[in-house]
Amino acid sequence: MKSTKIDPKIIKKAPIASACFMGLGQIVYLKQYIRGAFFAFLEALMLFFIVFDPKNLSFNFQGPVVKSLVGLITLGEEKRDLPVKLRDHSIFMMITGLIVLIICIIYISTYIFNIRDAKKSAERIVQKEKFPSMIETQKFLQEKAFPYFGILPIIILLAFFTIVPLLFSGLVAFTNYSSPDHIPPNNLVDWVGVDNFVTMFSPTVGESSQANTWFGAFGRVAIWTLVWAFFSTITCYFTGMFFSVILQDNRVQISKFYRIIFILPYAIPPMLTLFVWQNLLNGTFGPINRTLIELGLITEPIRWLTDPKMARLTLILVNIWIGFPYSMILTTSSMTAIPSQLYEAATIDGANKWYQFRSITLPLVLFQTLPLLIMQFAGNINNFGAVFFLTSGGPTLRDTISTQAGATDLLISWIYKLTYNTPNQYNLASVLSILVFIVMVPFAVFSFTRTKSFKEGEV
Amino acid sequence: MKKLLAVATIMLVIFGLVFANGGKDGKGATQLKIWESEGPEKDFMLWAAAEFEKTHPNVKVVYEPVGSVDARAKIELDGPAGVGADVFVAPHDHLGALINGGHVLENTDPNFNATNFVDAALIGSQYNGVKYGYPLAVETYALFYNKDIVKTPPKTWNEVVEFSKTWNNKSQNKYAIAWAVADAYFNYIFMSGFGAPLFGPNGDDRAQHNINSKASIEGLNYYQYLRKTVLDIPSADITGDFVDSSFTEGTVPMIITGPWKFADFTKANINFGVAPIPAFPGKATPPTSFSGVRLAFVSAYTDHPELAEEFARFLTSKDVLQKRYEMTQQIPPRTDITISDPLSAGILAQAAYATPMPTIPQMGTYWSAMGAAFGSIWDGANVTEQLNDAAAAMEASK
Repeated sequence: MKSTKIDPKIIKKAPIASACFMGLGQIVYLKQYIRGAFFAFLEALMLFFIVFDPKNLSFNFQGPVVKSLVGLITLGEEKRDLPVKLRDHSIFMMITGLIVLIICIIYISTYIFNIRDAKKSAERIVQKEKFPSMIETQKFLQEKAFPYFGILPIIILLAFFTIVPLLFSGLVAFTNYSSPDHIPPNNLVDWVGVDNFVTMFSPTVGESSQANTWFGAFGRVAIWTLVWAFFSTITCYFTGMFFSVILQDNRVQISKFYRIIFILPYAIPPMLTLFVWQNLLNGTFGPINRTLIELGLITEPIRWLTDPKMARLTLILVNIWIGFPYSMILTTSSMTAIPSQLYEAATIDGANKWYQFRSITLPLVLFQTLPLLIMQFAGNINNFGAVFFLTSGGPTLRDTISTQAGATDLLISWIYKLTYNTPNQYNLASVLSILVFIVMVPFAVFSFTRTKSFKEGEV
Repeated sequence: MKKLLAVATIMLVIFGLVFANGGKDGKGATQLKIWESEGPEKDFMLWAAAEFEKTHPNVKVVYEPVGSVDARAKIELDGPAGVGADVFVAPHDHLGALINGGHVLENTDPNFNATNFVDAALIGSQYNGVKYGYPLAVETYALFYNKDIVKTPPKTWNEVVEFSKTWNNKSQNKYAIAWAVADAYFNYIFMSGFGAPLFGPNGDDRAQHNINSKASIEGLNYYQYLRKTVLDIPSADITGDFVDSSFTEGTVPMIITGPWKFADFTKANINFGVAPIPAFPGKATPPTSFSGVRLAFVSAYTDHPELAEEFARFLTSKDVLQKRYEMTQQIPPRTDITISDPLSAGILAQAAYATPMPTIPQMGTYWSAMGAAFGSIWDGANVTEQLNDAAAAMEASK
């Protein structure tokens, strides 16, 4: 058996060699020829794309990688003499730059991994005092490296299909990408730093310290979003609980039949039902107002959707009609888990129905469903459909003229209007999106930490 | 072995989908993609495509349903990505934005001149003196009146107010006249009719928006006055549905709407006529309404510019436009096609006083800012304040 003396210095030399060129240490010192070749190939590929310029077919350090990263920083230059198709398209440059940036980050991680791998392999070889054979390496890879290989495709998919779009929409907030003067490819989009944030969040504007309409609209919409989320969740929850408690009572004859009817508002798509509600609540021609006037209960039509404050109340009321079935089912299923002996014991002790509800049902059901309640609150912050299809953002207020935000607009429906209605103001919509994202992150983290897989550490 | 086969099959399918090439349709045929709205316009486009393919056997014309008002936003994204249409139809008021974004090519047809086409078509397709777009139809809105109730259409708004004194009955929902009062498209007459043309006399000067000029304030005050006298309903309640259904039922004998409603009202067997919009007090002629020119554009991203231009010119030839008028009832923009239908003649009468909507990109701000302002003013807000806000929004848009 041939035994070669293994130089302990390879623990130092191999990582340094790998730092100079990917895979060098593996090939020269560690006899890991396949692995080293693979790493070296990756570095060669990256260097090729940095140095080789496919447009001019020359090696002038203007490769696609360099061009994309430079494009991300400059977002294109004016090229008026070129036809429109060939000009710099700022947004495409931004996206390409982002993708290449992510690729570079992955490349750098691989580089660091290569260095650490060289160090660890060197330590292992010196410790075992021999170079591992093919079979040993294979077994080792299968055990230790399998998790990395398994998760690698997902990370790559995540990087390109989740992180790049997220970063892109966040970056738009730092540009002036808006209609009418900054739509590529005829115009360039420029980086404007935090100008959009100043526009949206500074209370005064100009030397004369006029009130900033954007900030006013933002304050109003943000407060209404929170108020709406809170009240819509609470009212739906307690209405659902009320109905489920009633239907649980033995004195109700055909509870199943009622349950089916009560489910209907939740089962039918809200978009359709809200359009019908919009017609029903029409102040002058809607059947609700006309019936109330015919019956003599009111003399003036109620301004359901045309008065800002009334429109907000109407929104919450109509949302109860749509949302209570879900809470009803939730509460019913929680209540079936409560053992009936508790109720029997309470009846023996002389408690009436209301006392039983307050002391037994309410605490137990609340405890069970509180996390879901919190998630519903988060969901209602972004409840686009409920608001948009009933009021389209609601009666116009004074600042709707310049900001497009109506009286019942949530942040999310305002973002929709800024994006889809002319004039498109993608940059301001992006600022608001970042804000909503920041608000929603704690809820998402909370929801994730409560999932079973996180708590118990297994799937 | 089975697993290997399964994986190989899936890879083949994915490769096939990834590399499926929609540009060339085998046998070297070139493909032209067309965007147009659904409805009779689509039927016409399919007919025109078939006719064109008869004379151009190597060309396949593919139609994709894209509403004319949606084409601008779609070409913005699809064009640079290479999947946009070669010829698409959009209203002329999107011209400014289309040119600003660089999405369309010029119209270099030597036959596109004043002898063959009406003024509105020429003005509507121009930008900075250069002609873009190939006009397919012109339209404007006018007064539709129920002949059974109103024998002769009123020539002035004073006559309308007089008529409303005897006709209006709030409890029966009877009103003399109705229109979509929160729509900046129809309400332009209250600006122009009093002497405040949007963006100057040629509709292209973004500094001269005239939104809060004295004439505009006067016009909007009259608009507010009309609510009290003729149509006392909150703006949000006067939906398009209400206007149409009231006209059909006969509770509202006069409405302001456009030729797109001909088919619906004829089907409902209403005996109606079309007349120019009544003149405002103190003015001699009907107010200037917005006319719309429906244009076909050649995309700047097309791979076959000459072929696309040929198809567009084909669309604006006399026989094809005549057939389009027969199929869609939309008034053709050519001077050499005669209109025999009395309803279309009524629209044409108002079109003599109509001006094409301004095409500069700031038009987008007009719709959103003035749309909100009109609604608030109808509901009683202070006219000067609202117009000043709208003017500020217009000046801030950049």
